[in-house]
Amino acid sequence: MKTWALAIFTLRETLRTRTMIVGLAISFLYLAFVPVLNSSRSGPAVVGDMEMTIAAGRDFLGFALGGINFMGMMLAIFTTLGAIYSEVEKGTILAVVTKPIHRWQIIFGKWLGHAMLMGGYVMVMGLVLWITVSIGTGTVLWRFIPAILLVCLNVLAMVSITLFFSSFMPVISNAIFVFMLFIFSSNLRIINAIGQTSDNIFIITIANGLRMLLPVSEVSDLANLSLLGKIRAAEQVGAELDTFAPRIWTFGYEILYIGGAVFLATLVFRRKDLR
Amino acid sequence: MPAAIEIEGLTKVYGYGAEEVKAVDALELTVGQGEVFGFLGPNGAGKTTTVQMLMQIIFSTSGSGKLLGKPLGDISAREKIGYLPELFQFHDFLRADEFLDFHARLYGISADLRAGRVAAVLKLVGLSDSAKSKIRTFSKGMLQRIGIGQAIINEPKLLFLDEPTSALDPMGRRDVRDLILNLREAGTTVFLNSHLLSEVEMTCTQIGILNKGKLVRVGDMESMIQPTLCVDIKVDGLSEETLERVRDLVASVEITGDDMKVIVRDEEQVKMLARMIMDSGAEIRQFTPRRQQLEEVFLQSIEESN
Repeated sequence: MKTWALAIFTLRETLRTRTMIVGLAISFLYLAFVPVLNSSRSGPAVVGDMEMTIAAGRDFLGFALGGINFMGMMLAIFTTLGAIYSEVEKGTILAVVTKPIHRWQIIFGKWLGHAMLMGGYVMVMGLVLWITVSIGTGTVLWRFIPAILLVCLNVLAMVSITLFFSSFMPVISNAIFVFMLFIFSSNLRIINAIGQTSDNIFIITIANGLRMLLPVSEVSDLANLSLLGKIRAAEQVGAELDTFAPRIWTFGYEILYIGGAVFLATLVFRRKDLR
Repeated sequence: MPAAIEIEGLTKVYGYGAEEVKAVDALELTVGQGEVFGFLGPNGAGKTTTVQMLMQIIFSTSGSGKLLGKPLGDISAREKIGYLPELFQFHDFLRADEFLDFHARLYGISADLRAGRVAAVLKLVGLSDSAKSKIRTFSKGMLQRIGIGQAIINEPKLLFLDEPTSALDPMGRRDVRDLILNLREAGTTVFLNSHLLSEVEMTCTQIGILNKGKLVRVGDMESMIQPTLCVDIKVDGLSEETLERVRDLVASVEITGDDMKVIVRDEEQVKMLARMIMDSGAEIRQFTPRRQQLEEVFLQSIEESN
């Protein structure tokens, strides 16, 4: 009950922050204008043929999914940056840590609150798009479900790693670290591709290994793959078809990654002087 | 019945090597249940550090302690402990009743008890009319009251108050004082960190004086203050010979300009002192016997320890 109370409290607190309000406003604008944005891209056109209509719908969902994935991860970072450290700096944590509650429960409650909010955000955005496209095409696009779940996993991974850094880092340092990690891991696909085209196993191994520092970009590739198939997914992320090979097991690894980040945050916070 | 607070060799060291600072140095202290313990000391003495170690906000470098017979940090003991931090900071987007409800949930108070408990505490701290107001609209005094509210929402057996009246006006101070006295009557142990010596003097049964991280004096309020009887005297024409006789008679004489402060050993000496000065032919302008104030005990203890 105590952890749940903290989670609900965190959710309410985060929901009313300026970051969240601006993020939600941008997201709704995105939802409203995503058909316009999508129409400027090349891809299968809707020509009346049923299969082509479904392909166009799936393509549209793939494009929108990329937006939800990116906005969800950005929002997860910005809303979680000060989750622990800011509370310590402001002193609001004092009345909480002195209650009959374990410190791991505080971390878990905070994580749960952010996870529910961001998970909810992704699911609602995804649901709106899915229903709209399903009605528009007259077919239920089931392949969207694993894709949106993988995006949800990505957002939770960003919440978890940001929360971990927040257990010992001020907001600015946390932002620098997380964004560096995000940009670095997002660009490792290029190094991987270089390794594959030059047939250099060393570069491929290093690139694949480093991608595990933050598996979100590979899981994003998996989400695209499950929704669009290999050819359109590779096009979607701007990768060469030969080098586009996201590893299936990375989603399992990401689940462990989320658990590990939360666990590490509890370890750091367990005996930390809060002054 | 275990003591409410037992501290053995509690030490907190900050920094390393040449920059090492002992904020609290091998503190030994026992506070019995039902006592109101006033913890005094100049700024930087280590009072807040001590309380923060007891509440496990920070962790001791060495030493140990028990609260209500359980080791520091024990969750079951914390269910019976309340704490008001110094300069309490709030999640101010909540309403007063939501804020107390949240803290009641953290104490694990069941849903059927919570609403009643919240209403009772709001009434006790004088905020019933502001129950539905956002905390961000509160004055400093109201914030301090709601802070006290969250500390007593669990009906604690042991309550730590760190400068509870620092932001309050005289009326608010009186209310807090009354609250402490009510808690004392109900058998709650109160550990009071305060700079306001008059407040401590009026509410506490025991005091401890901390200086540079060391406990320099501890004991019952009565034994520390009551036996020391003082006489403030203003006198004209007192001869050196009479002054010497006064010095021989009493415990100590302190002269500052025209003012003379005499510490006597018992009430009989007060009468003898008055007679001695009058018989010498000196003219007494003021002769005020009084019990020594806590402030004097405090300053004396600090000076001695320095």
